[in-house]
Amino acid sequence: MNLHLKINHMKKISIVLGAALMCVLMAFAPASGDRLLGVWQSGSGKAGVKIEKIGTKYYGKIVWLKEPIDPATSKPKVDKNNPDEKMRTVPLKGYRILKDFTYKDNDEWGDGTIYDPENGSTYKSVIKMKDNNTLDIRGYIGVQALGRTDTWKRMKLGK
Amino acid sequence: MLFGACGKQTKDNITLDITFKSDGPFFEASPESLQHQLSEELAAFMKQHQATEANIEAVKLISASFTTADSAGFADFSSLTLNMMAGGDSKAKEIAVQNPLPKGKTFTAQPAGKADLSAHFKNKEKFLVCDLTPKADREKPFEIKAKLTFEFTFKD
Repeated sequence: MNLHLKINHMKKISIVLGAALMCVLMAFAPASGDRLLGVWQSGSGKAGVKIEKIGTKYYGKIVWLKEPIDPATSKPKVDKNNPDEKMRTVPLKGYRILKDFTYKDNDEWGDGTIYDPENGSTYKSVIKMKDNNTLDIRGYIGVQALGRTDTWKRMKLGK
Repeated sequence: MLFGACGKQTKDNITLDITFKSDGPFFEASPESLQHQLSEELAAFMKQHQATEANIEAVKLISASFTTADSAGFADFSSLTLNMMAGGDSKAKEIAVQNPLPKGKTFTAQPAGKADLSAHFKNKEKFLVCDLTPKADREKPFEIKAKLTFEFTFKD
């Protein structure tokens, strides 16, 4: 084999190995939508919300509260403002406030809802990931222009 | 003049025996979700009614009872919420709630609201999700057997 053929052969091997490495890296990288998974702190700092995936959709439940005890009852806070009377005994810690989000594209999740336990209202919602540790969560009624955006930060656990 | 005739409706109940399992550990700081994906459980019932998903008019949960063989019963947990989730346009719904949980090994939960679950049962991808709030950290696995009765309304 002359030198020219050897170089060509080496190039082909490099391309194949490079492609194989890319495949391996892609197999272990989280799907784009799954970058939303984790625990996030709301803008007010009052709650930590764990976002998980069930089926193909994303849901978020409260897993941490800055003030877990209701001073009025001296017991763990419950969802006392829920419009459904039967839900008013459900503990806030564990309550699923983000529901039914699907990954769209460009770091955006839509078709979901966000529940505000402070007033018992549910809003349509979209989530935009600004960077790996920052989310803009917009809740709105009707059209997106009529709404409010809250910025959430990824919580660093174990600190 | 009104055109079209009202289709015939049929109502029937089905009781599903669902097992929720978690290998643990449970952390007090993090409520746990135990999932079960419904797949073949409804096949015989649908066949009996010669129905497809398109024939489902309405579905509601009419009773929900829960049992555990765990030696401590439900004493390690403070509350349970049962949710139904599905793909497509259907929205997640809380369908049964119990807070506080009794100390024994069995209880009947209050169905939450009068949610129509037809959109969920029409979907190929559907989940029952059981949220448990632990009272303290727990290493051992936990298993719950749920007996859920749904009322189906079929249309021709």
